[in-house]
Amino acid sequence: MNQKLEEKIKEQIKNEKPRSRWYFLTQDLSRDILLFILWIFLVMATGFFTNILIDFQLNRLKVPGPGQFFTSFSFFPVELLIIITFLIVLIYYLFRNIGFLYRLSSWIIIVLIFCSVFLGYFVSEAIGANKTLINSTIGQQIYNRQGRLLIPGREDVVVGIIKSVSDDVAEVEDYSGKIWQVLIANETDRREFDSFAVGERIWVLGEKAGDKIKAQAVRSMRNQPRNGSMRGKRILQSPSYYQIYGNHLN
Amino acid sequence: MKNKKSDEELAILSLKDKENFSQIVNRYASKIQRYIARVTGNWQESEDITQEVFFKAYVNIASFNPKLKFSSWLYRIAHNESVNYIKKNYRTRNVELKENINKDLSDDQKIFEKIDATPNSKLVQKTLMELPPRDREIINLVFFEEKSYIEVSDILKMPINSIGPTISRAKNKLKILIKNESKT
Repeated sequence: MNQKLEEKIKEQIKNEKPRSRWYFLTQDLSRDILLFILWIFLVMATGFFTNILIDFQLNRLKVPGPGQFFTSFSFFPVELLIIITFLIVLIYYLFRNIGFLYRLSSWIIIVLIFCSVFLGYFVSEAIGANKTLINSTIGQQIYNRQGRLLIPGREDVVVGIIKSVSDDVAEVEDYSGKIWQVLIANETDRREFDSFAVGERIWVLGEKAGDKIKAQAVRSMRNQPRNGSMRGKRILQSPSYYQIYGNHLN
Repeated sequence: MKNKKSDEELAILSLKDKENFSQIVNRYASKIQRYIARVTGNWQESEDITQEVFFKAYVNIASFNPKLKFSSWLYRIAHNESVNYIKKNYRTRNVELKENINKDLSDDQKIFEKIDATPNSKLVQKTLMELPPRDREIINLVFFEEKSYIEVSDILKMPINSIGPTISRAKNKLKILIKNESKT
């Protein structure tokens, strides 16, 4: 029976010719180039979204306090997290398809991905690609929508660039080009508002009326390539519910 | 006396002379058919799938990477073809499986010579086929084809360190299935 099978196989390939080595060489080369470009793209995209996520998380307008549990969740950029997770999964499968990397433990591949993303982050910061991406149309749209792509952004939030600033008013241009008058009062949680400069990106939570927004809280968002020491100085303790709204229990 | 050429040498020489590939066919045809039969659970179809495997191997022989063992490369093609067959025949497979298993596979002494040596050979054969394809394939490669973990990793494209735990899980499943089967 097996003899018959072997004869059948030999008969089947009798008139066939193997594909040339060049065919596979060009195929492998184009595949490798494609994988490399995809890897660069994925690493940069992951770094880009992670960067924005960190911006939102470190500068978030957290409003903890009685009855405010879900409010703090409404600032949580779930979509960015989903995008980043999806990109990391893509990078994982990409790594599994490179050479003999599939032999390695998944944990080693995950560590490699993190190294790759960190390396990509520092390289893109060094060459200014991250800043360019963040200031690109898509980056601005993401900021404008407060990190939300499908879910609408919060109605009581304005994200924009400071055009002019005084003690109690700041003119802020959002990414649609609209100029907002941000009214700062004594009770506004302002962190380091006094040191804000023209051209800085800020995030304002407040009550909107026409082109004015009465600010309850203001945060600066990074507008310069970030480093650890700057981040440490910029980010202070989150305000409590009472600091923002006052203590209604009294 | 002529030195026996290695599989890898034959693979490289096959590009120039078809006779070298014929030697590969002689060496592996029955092994590959056995492997496919065990994975797909269908002896009759295994012949056609084996032919397809060797046809693809021959046409794509220039893509063989000498860093790999040739047998791993060939088994990888067989694995892909078996998986394609299982996917295509997913609905009908389970119905046919139990009918074919005793009729076809147990008739071929070579296929289950190791299992046949055990007192409950038919029971093991039957329950082996009830395992998920991935588990069944690993058991087949490690215990019947006697492949090393690196070879299994190359054939199934899975991490080396997860082969041991997968075998252990597959064996436990097999034990439970055998226990349930012997009760009924």
